[in-house]
Amino acid sequence: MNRGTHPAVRALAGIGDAWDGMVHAVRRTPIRVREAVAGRLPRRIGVVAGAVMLLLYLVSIGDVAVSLSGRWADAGAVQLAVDGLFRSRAPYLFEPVAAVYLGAHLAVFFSPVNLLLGLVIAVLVAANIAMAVHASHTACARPGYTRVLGVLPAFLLGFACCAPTFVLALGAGGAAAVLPVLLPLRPVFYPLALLLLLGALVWSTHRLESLAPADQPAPADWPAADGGPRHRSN
Amino acid sequence: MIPTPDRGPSRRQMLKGAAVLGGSAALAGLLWQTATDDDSASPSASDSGSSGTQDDGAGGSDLDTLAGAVVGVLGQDGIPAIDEPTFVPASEADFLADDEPVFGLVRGGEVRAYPQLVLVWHEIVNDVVHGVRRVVTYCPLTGTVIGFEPLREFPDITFGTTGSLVNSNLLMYDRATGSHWPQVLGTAIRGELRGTRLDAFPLLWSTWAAWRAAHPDTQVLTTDTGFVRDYGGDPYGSYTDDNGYYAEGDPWFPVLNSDDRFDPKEVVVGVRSGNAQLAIPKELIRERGRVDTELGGTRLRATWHDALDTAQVVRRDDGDPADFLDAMWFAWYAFYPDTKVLA
Repeated sequence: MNRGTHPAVRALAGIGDAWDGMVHAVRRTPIRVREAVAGRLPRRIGVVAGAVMLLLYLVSIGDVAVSLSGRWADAGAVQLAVDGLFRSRAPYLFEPVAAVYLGAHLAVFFSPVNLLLGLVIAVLVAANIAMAVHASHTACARPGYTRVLGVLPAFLLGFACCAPTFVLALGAGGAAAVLPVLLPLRPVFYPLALLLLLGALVWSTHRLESLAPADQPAPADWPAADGGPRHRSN
Repeated sequence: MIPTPDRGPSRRQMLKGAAVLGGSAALAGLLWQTATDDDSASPSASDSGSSGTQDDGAGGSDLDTLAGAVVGVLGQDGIPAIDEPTFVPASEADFLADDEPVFGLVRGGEVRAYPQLVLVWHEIVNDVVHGVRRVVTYCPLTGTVIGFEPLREFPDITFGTTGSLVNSNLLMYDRATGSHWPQVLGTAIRGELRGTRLDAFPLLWSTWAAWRAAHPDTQVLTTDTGFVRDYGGDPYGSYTDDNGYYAEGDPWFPVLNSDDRFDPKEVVVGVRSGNAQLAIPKELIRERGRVDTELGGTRLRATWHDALDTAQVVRRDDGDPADFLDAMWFAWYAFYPDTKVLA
């Protein structure tokens, strides 16, 4: 029985315990991620999610553009401006060095740095989705959407950091309401998105670590070759 | 670690918790500090003046109020000015549709058209017109086009975009002193040249078909700007399809003064004379064909030009162009809340 320890002391100790739990989860995250992507299904879904994320990111910052009216019909194939490579237009948004017109309806304004920044986000999203799919195959799986919901703020932030088009998509009225709030936060959006995505990975790991051994997800290449679920214990 | 029943939570865990709390608070404080820091290094204000006219802003707000109302949006030159504009004769401008807005200039024998679809991505063109360095500026958010003459002390002066706004209007900086100039005012609100006013000249807001018909010898600014941009795309809306930001809605950024006499995006022809300003709804000039009025002791005439589908304002006494510009009503009022209005 505890002696009459002050609630504050217990609270502090609780924080200390939580810190230990987090450090442990951080250490285990690479292992759990590797375990997740080893499975065919989580890996495939993760890659698709990451690819979609990358495309959405590039569209939202205007590096990939679609014209329904086909206004690039007369454009040349490629346009170059290489000295813009590391010139930044806004926090985490860089100048394109080449414009490539793929037919009359699709244009890519290519910035290697923007692509790299988008890839980092996309990879983290892929890892998160793979973990979610992997973890959903547990005996006491909660509905999958709670994990996806956790990743959602990171998606939105990833857009908002450099996406006038995203804000514009809210419509003129929405923009007026949202811009005064978003603008001062702009330099923070991209790192915040990274932090949230990494945090979500660590959190998923923490949840898996706290499951009893019998409830752990099945090892890699689930489902079994005969298409049925693997038998875990006994 | 589960506390053992007879000893309570361990001292070590408690200290760890305290350390975590302290560290988090320090980190949060540091981040807050960084986030709320004034990032734009404002040049120090001074009273030195230069050529051009000295004034206090000649508008509703003094320079300090304006300087305090600057809103950061992009990095400096995030919207890059065109420093090496290239022009072609009208017959070679195959990238322009007939109904595209262009801003027309006739000065010193030169006739030039600056397409809105190029300027929307650059906002400033540092040009040389008839041997004189002149800058043509366009702010998409306020729908204002203004040309500026160079300062006597700085005949080769060029400008860039600060990436910030005042009253939702483009805030420029000059590359000679780094002073900050709101486009509509043309008066520096910060920096070595604070208080100095640039001499402005008007451009005419027309369409490509109309301008080319009226001036077959015109040169036109091309999309060969040195930058890769989606020319033809417009991130704000469309003038040709009359939709988006240009057509309707409230301003996106804070303004110092507002008035609902007109729709915020209604185009007015703003005229300045001395310390007085006048706004005439552009539609009114179109309806009446000609409007005679007086401002600050100067007699003015606003005329509608069907051929160019635009309005022009001249001084009746000598026939010279007045200091006028098209503007969205909200922007004109934001800078000039004491403006007279013709209705």
